[in-house]
This record gives sequence, C-alpha cells and structure tokens, in this order.
Amino acid sequence: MAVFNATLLGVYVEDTLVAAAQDVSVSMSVETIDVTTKESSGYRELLGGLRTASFSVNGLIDYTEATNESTADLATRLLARTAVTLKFSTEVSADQSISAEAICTSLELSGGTEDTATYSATFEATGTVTLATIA
Amino acid sequence: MKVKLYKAYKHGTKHWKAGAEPTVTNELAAKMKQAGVLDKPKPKAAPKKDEDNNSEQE
Repeated sequence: MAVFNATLLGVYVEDTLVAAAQDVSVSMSVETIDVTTKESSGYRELLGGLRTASFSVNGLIDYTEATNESTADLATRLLARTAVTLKFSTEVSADQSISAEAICTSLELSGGTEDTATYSATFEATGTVTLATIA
Repeated sequence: MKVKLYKAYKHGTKHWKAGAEPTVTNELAAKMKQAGVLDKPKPKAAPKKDEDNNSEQE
C-alpha cells in the first residue's frame, strides 16, 4: 500500500502552484447516451458520451503573494476568459498527474468576522484531459 | 518543486525577479535549469598575485 499525505497535492496554473491552497480537487465524469431498445431484454444499455473534468482549489487569501499564483492572478485569468494549462499533481516521481487546458469559470473571495479570508476557484477543462505518470 | 532563481525569469504572465522562490512543476524547473536561472553565480576569482614581484622580495 502506498497511500500518501495529500498535502503534497497541488493545482498548478501555467506551471506555477496556486498559492495558500488548503483543499484541491479534480472531478472527472462521462455522460452517457441511452441506447436501450426493445431488444435490450428490459435492461438499460448505454454508450459513453461527453467526457468532462473540472478542477477546484480553495485556500486563504494573501494579497502580498507575488511569487506563486495569487487570487489576483486567478481573477485576471477569469476576466480574460482564456484557457490556461492546469495540472493536478504532487510533482513526486512515479505519482500520477492529471492535466488539461482549462478556463477559470468561478472565483469566490470571502471573509467573515474574526475569521480568515478565503478563496474558492473552479476551472472547467476544455479539450483533452491527460493522465500521466510523473517522471 | 520550490526553486530559487538567481536570475530574473519570464514565463507566460509571470515575471520573476532574481531571488524569487516560486513553486513550479518539474517541467518548468527543468526549463529554468536549462536556462541557467537556478545556478548559483560563481564567486569572483581572487586576483592573482604577481609571482615575479614576490620572488624579488625574497
């Protein structure tokens, strides 16, 4: 068994780590096409359809962040509406990574009282999703 | 991986100054390495002593 500490997992936008992240996730799904007919013997039959992937990252806002990918950088990318290279990875040799071109579709910045200021960003993949073993 | 840049480096919209310590993918780190951005600058060599002058003093 080779379970590992998820702290190593990060989301990289254009090869740079999204800063001050606390939670990262990637969600992949395939839509299905119903091809059930009268000859299906009463069982549903499906074909694989549209494949989608989305990445999300939540963390703490740091307005002084100037080295890694900051919330200001994420906001700029969202407003630009252009696809960026995204990678979900530990960057540890022999681990698996998931990467895709993706568009930042949402960015939420929030702050309560006597609490940390937080952000939440979502990216939707456009085009191919690549699974790879990290060299 | 976290890297330390000894020279300024531009990548997409990012423009890091020398001394910056970004966390980047292995691929970008390799590109930076190739560009010599991650190499510590070599210390300047000490000025050579004039051997002829030294021999005269002896």
